[in-house]
Amino acid sequence: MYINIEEPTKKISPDAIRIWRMTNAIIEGIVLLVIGGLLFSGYYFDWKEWIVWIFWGLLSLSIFATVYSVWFEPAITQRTWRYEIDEDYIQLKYGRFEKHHKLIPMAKVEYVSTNQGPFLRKYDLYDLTIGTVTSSHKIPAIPREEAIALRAKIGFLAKLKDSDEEMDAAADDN
Amino acid sequence: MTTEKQRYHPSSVLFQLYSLLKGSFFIILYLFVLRSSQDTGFWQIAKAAFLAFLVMATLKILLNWMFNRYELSNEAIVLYNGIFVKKQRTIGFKRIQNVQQTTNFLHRLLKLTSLTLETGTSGDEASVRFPVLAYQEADRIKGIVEKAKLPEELQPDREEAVELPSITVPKRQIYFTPSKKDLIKAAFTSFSVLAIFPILFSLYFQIDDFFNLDNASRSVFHYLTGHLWLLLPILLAALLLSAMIGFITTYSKYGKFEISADEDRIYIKKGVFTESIFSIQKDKVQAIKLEQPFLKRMLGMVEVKLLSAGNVGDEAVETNSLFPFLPIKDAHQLVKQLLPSYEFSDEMKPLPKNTLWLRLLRPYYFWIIATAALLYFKMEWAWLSAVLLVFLIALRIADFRFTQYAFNERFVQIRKGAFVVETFITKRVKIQEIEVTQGWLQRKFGVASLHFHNRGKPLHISVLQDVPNAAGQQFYLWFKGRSKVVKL
Repeated sequence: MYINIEEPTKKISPDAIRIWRMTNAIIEGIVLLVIGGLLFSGYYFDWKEWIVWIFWGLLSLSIFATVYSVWFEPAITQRTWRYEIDEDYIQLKYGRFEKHHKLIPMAKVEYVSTNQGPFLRKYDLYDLTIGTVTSSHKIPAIPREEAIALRAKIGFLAKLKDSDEEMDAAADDN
Repeated sequence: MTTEKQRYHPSSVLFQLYSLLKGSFFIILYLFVLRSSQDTGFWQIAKAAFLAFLVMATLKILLNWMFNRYELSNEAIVLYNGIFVKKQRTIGFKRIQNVQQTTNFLHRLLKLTSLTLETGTSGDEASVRFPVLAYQEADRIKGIVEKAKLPEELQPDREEAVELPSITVPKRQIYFTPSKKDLIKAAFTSFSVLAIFPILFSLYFQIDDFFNLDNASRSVFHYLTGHLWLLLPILLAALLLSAMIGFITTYSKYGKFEISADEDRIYIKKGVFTESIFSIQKDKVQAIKLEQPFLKRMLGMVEVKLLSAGNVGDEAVETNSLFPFLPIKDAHQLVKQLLPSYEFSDEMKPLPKNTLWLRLLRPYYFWIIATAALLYFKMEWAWLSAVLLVFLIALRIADFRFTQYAFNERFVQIRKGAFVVETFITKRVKIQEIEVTQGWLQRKFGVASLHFHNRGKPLHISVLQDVPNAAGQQFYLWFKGRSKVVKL
């Protein structure tokens, strides 16, 4: 039974799939290398048998993890990511198995920034980070023009709605 | 309003020198008493370096006092710091989340006090501290800060009201002071009557380190086994003594406890030897938290805490707590009086029955790890694993039964916990952001989890697991409806 919350509409760039495949493949490759190295030294230095068994266990687990995080996960994440930014709210929705619906009032936004790593640069994409007093949120892989426009929009709206809390409270109390 | 730059109170130099000496007490003891006879190269350099440090530190304290200034205006306080590099810091009164005034023993001797204005920011500059100042000055600063809190258009009203003879009675009213009965209950419930035993034990072992007490204690033990009747008076005396000490510690903490409030602020005063006054503007209360550990629940008592976005005093002082041993009925009454804009909802909804199964089905990670460790290290104690599992299941059932929630137009109220049952109430406008999540297993049961963030130090994240889908949806829409209420 899915929860009936109206989903935001905007999607993130499909290029995100390829980017995440690449980054995840690199990370998992390093993990596999480390485990392989441990296994090798386990046999080479004659470590205790149960330690070597743990290494084998880790290896088989991380092979599964690699298949999942390189092949399935990027596509799932890209397909399920939605966001929407209007005058009053930032809405985020992501996740397939565990679904997350986030709602951040524009008045509570403290800062907004765009970041770009080497892989994102290749596809001319940006991550957009939105911070509140209590946490920060990342909308990944947004095309350049859109990211910059969003940054400007949020910056403008957040300033406009700057939460002077006592004013909020006063309005609420009356 | 005076708007001139002022120095800090001259006694602050004295206080800082005192704390400098106190802080370096062990180094002095070590270098100049224990190692006084050693005058070889290394020790001489060490001593000289330390003396140089003392001189520099003293000089710095003096210069800081000479150069640092503060200035109060109607809206802000400006701090001028720095000897060579000048630094100017402006803190708007609007940003101040709470005010704390602490008077320790040394302050009292000199008829002085200290004042801290807390802002909600993080880091070293989160607060403005006046470590030493005269009462008069503290009152002046508090007066300006508190007045600045009122919206501009309300301020003249207030002054007028003071002038009117019919309302000359101070608006500030005392709402709670603990009676002797409350204090005795507090002493027993907080176990401070038993506090003497660990102290005695540690004392014994400390002395034991220096003088071997084993033989002495063995002979005492031997004597006692021969004269068992002696145990009774000894035990009684010990209990009496510990009860007395417990009462004194409780008294020193809560003896002069007093909660008062005026139209827009709440004041919590506590402490006999070290007196502290915590004051917070009612609008700046981020949330109310009611805590009931097991024992307090049995005795029908509760601790009410006011969440502030600023620091709420250090260590065990817990200045933001209304009296921690309040009977539940009084607690509700008190909150109603102090914060009339808050409403307790009496009609909280329990979780749907079937979610109990969901909660029991969730993996018991702690149990798995504990069992694995047990099997590996202490095979013969493996039965403990069954005990642990039963215990964990009991906790989950208890938590399920205590969990309740309600949201009405402006508030959300949740209750949960097994050992410590916690009720949390906050206004929608005070919530920074929300999240509704639904995991795979939750989907099968048609339930979801609610998360919401409140400002605080540290920030407060509330999670309510396994409410029905409809409630999750309602929560989302409820928070979205915020924009219709908050007029900006």
